[in-house]
Amino acid sequence: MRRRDLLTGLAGLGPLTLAGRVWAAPKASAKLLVVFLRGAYDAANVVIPVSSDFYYQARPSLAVPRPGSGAANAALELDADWGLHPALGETIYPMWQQKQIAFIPFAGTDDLSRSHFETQDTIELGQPVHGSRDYRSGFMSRLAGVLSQSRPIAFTDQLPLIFRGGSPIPNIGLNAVGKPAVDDRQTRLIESMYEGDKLAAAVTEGFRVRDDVTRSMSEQMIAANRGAISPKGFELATRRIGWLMREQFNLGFVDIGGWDTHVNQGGATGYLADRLRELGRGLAGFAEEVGPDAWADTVVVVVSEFGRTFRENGDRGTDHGHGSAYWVMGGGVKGGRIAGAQIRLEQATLFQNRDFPVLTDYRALFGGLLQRIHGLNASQLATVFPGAQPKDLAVV
Amino acid sequence: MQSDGDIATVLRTMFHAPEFATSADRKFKDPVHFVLSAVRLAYGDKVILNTAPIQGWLNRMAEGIYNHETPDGYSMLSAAWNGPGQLAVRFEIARQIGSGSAGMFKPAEPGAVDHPAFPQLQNALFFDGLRHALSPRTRAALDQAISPQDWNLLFLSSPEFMY
Repeated sequence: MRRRDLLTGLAGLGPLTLAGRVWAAPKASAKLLVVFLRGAYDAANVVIPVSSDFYYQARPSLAVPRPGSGAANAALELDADWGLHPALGETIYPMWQQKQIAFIPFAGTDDLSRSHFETQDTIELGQPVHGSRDYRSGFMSRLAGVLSQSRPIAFTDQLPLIFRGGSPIPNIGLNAVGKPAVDDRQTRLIESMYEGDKLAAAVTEGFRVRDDVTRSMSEQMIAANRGAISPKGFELATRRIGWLMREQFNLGFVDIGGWDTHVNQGGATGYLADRLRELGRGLAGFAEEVGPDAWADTVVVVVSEFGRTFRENGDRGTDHGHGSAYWVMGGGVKGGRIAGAQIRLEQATLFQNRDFPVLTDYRALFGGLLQRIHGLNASQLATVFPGAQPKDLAVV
Repeated sequence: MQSDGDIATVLRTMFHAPEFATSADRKFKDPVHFVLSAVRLAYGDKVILNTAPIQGWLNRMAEGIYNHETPDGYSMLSAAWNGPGQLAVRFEIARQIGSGSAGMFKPAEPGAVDHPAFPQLQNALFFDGLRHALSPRTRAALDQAISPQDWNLLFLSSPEFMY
């Protein structure tokens, strides 16, 4: 694989320093960002089965109108069978039109608990569901271990399970980044106290990442002040992530909550639509900030612990389900398609007569992606996802 | 196992195990333990009039009161709290606790006055007990402090205070 030869050649170059700033080797390394929608987002109203009459019967108040039906907030056409929620029209739909995003419906796990934290743990650990779980080993930590040049980071306030294990991986919550209150002299004194302590590496790494992020943030704020709108919330965080993943980090994780819509979910408009708009703006903001060169080498995978019930409930919402829809996007992604196994959605084909079935296991999906993105071989994949077979859906 | 779960036997085995003796006082403090032990050491029996700063610090350290997303609650494992990013935040909180009363003695009613208070970490408990457990490296760093607030930051950030 030519990319691998290029990487091996570049590894011999080493970093160059100019005026105190370390310049990374030319951007030939692949980048991966995993975005976890915590709370089980309603995939059926986002990647919408518009050709299924049963969808419209099952969701009298929540269904999004068919594309071309003339309704004001109709779904946007993806292909003959699927539509996209209109709230993503300005952000994600253009990516679809540029073939930079693929959707994988009927995706998920074989965890049938339908419990948020249990299934979130299942996905983050990446270990077989049946059997004892090692809570100290998340799959992205194992991935960082097998990659030769990984610079991982979690953009969360607390180190998530997905990154536990191996050498300490830094985390930084991005919404509250300001000038560090602990100055250089105090930093050095604190580091001196920890010499020889088992936390020494973590202390030094924590200060280093804080300094890198602060320096990057001040550059980014100067650049952003030339723009018009000041982003807030998730978009603010993802733009910073994009800036940081341009050159500094190549393996990232971020999560966003608020998807557990049991009551008054809304259809084409409403609560879910607002969250989707925020998510779409965040992802588009990330793509913009990471820059066209890096975007061509970046893959963003959006996942959630499970989907929701096919039928709406008595509170104009939906309850915990099973199959979900995952998104894979990036400058180099072979997008513009709905990937993975799919079936007609009727009452008879529902899982347990209530949910989407799972036809693509998340570990098979990730395995297939990692094979292509990082050129991992079979034994490396078995380290990252023990007991799972990769499935190549040809999306990258 | 041999006693088939008889409580007294199980407990006796646990208490006599070598792991129990060595683990007794060496567990990494989670954010709640860290913040409350620092504030308690600093102010002794003075009643905190406004807990909002404490809640704010706990939220920054991702252990806000009742703020855990899922019902399994905050982790009891040290590995959940001693990552690099979290330690960096902890040192910043240490600086805040050590630099002043941080609004903890100003009641939340409108027009309230700030009651006099400051963090006094070098107190009897420190001189009689904690000081003897400090390593030479920590003492050397504390000697470099250039102000009481600076000293407080270093002491609250020391490895000994983290356990």
